[in-house]
Amino acid sequence: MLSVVESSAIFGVDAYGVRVEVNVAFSTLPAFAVVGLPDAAVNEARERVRAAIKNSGLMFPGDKRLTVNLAPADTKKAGPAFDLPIAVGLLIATGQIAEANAAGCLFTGELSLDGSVRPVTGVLPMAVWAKKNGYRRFVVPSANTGEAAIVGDLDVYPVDNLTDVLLLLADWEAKNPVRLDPAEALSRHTNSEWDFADVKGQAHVKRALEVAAAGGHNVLLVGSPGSGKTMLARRLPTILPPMTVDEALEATKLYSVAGLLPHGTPIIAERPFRSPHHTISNAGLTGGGSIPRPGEVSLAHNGVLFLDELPEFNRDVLEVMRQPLEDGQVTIARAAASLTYPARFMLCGALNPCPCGFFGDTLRQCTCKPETVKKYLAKLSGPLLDRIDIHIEVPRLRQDEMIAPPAGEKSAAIRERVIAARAIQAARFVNDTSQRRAYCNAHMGAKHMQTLCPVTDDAKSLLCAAITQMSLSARAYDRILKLARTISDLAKEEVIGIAHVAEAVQYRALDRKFWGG
Amino acid sequence: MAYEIETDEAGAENGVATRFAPTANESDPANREFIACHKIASADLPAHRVRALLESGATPSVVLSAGATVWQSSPIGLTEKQVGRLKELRDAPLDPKLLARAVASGTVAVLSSDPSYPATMRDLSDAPPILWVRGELLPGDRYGIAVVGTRRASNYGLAQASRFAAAFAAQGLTVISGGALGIDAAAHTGALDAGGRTVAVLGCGVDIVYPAAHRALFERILQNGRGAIVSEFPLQTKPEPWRFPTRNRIIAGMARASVLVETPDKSGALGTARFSAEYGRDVYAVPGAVDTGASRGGHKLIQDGAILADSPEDVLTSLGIVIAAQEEPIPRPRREPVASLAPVVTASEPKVGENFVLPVTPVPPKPVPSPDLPPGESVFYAALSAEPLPFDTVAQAAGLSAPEANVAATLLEMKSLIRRFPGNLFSRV
Repeated sequence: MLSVVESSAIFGVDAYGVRVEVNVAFSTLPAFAVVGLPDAAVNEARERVRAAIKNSGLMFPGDKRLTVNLAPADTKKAGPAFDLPIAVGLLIATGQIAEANAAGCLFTGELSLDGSVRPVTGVLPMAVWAKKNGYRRFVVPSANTGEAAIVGDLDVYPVDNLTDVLLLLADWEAKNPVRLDPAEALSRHTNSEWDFADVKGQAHVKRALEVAAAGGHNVLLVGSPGSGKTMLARRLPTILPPMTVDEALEATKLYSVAGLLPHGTPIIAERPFRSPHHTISNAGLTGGGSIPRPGEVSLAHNGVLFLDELPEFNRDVLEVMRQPLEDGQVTIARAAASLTYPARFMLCGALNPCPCGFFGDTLRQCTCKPETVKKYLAKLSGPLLDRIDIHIEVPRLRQDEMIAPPAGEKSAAIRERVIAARAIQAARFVNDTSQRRAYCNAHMGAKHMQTLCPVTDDAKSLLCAAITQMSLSARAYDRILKLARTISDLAKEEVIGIAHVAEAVQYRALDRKFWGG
Repeated sequence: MAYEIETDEAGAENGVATRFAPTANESDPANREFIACHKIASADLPAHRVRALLESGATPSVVLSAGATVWQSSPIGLTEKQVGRLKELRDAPLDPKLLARAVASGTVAVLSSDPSYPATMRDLSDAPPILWVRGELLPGDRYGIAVVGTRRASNYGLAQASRFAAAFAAQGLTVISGGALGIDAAAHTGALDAGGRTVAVLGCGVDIVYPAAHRALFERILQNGRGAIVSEFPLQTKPEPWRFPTRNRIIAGMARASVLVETPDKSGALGTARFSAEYGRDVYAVPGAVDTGASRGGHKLIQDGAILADSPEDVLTSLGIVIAAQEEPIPRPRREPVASLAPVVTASEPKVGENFVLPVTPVPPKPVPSPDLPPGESVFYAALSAEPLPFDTVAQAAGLSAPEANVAATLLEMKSLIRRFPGNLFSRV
């Protein structure tokens, strides 16, 4: 007897439908075969399904010839998410479940040998696909309930074991489906445990980060070990505007696919903060692998990617970041297919000023030769530095400053100003019809800057004078103007004034010639 | 040794040329002599033997072609081995580009008997027999003061080096240093910024720019006769580590006193101090912080008898130089030079150890903050000192928010009233 059960699989960050066909035939030679390009994990489903069915007290047709086909048959299937659909198909094919009861329902889940259902990755994109394609019901492992229910307009039924599934399919009315409202789930999120008020001193760094958050500018923190670069960067997400529902769903999708969604969390409500170690590989940063997985740039989508010890990263690895920094997405081309993950993040880099870490430090002598200081900074490639608007030096605090009570502003207060500045920018770019649309000041191209950055004559002459007198490099001009635009937005002023330019000049530390110039 | 004000005519009396500037004109006899000097200098002979060789009364090319009998005669007395080496070099083909390089870089070979050869060095037993000079050495350079120190300098060290150098330059004294990174560079720059003269003594050929980052600095030194670049090593000599200690003896020899700014243990500048002391010149050390070890070498020198230099005026008064009227405060006299217990200021011929007044190059007056600075800038400026301070400390002391302080910092920097250092530190200029 033949049965058909609907399931789904992940490609990139999106799901597509997979029909699980199970045929049970009489044969003198019993067999259990899975076809449709299964990988090792899918093939092993045979053993799990057999044991799970037997251990749940159900009948497994061990004397028959069983064939499972995963259609479409030409895409590679990976992972254990087909365990549950295969088991359900077998139970239908052997008459233990009525076929009509499984109609219009999507199944996913991994089986344990004892019949319990274990969580799988990518449930959110599957739910999105199910909703779009008119499915009414979605049976998911109970640990994946939240991410499935968040899409709305879909009855989500969590199950813990195969017996649950049997009971559910016997009588759908016996259990209430779960539904969640994403906006409500987002608002229920409690505030972050991180706060800028915890950071002592460093007022100018906090201000620079405020400007960075307001304009979406990438930042570079330069400072000795122990100066608090990581501490400051970790708090950057707390002053970025809260995520919209769409942004949160985008981020959650990526975490769902990567299997990194924390248990019991229906939605990623806080902007992600990713800080990969500097030994990371290309594939680890951009994504990919034989079983494609989003990389760190995508996991930082709509959030902050923090790269500590930037010069220690492999140069190739830093170079591959150029596409995501430019386009907000990363395309991974492999022989079989090419897939695209979203990757619009704010880059925050941190580095020591020199190999020993104490160049320019007031408390300890630097032991590096002058040439080595220069070489160390030269490890950062020009194209990468070109995409970083703010460089700010983070000095170490003296002991007395560290003991002093924190008098910093709360993240929430800074965030208010950032939101206001972002609103001004949203209005500015609302009529932007250019091919590469800007969303915030950091994304402005040369065209935008001509029309959207009106400067007073005083400010303009100050900028030109600063370039020559402070021996700033030529690329600094555009960067300073962009920063001045953001600073003027924070001050709610239409035209860029002298004070805005003057402040922006201070955020270009590495352009100074004394930094290895 | 006497410091004579009038031009020294030593060596010129017998009519033999002692200074050879190569030209593009191939038949110029100076070219022949320059090449001879190059070959003699390349043979690595002991300095006193080369001097004897060159002071024998004939030109370098004649001496070179004279051969073993002359070279081994008294007082030259080269050994067999040295004769072999010199002969080999004499007969070896010459780098065809040598002269072009010399002309392009404007290098001149100066013998120790030449009037422009530093008079302070001529009588030293280990004085280099030939100096390779770009730019011009002036008779006044004999009053020069060496300002030397570590290459790994702190902001404090750099600031002090340029401050001391500027003060000496403002008194018309030539600042002599080694052309290296760190303190040396700050000393040269300080002297040039004050409108004075400076001489860089290199440990490689004068046509090699080492460190390469100093191309602009060296060009600035050579511009408008602001100074000179000298070396005892022939053109194209590579900067090898063992050449720098030898080079230090020239810095010590040319200068009438050495000032050590920021010298850690084992710094090459300690070698300069040792040579200075050997030559009977005064050694001064500028103290630094005791917790970083950055000035430990200098502090040890003070313990061993070097003079503590609290300010440039300290050095000047101690050397018996009358400070020309400047806006600088009158310095406290610290220690009188031993030979001038009763210093008398005279306009006439100064003698050994006496005070003398040098012509003063006018220095542009330091910009004084005008009282009409806008409020934000004036409080920021008031919170600063000559020592570099962290930005946040200054902003807090001035009562300014971070953005306000940033604005003030940029505007003041544009007015050249303050300076920014690595580490986001600021000081008054």
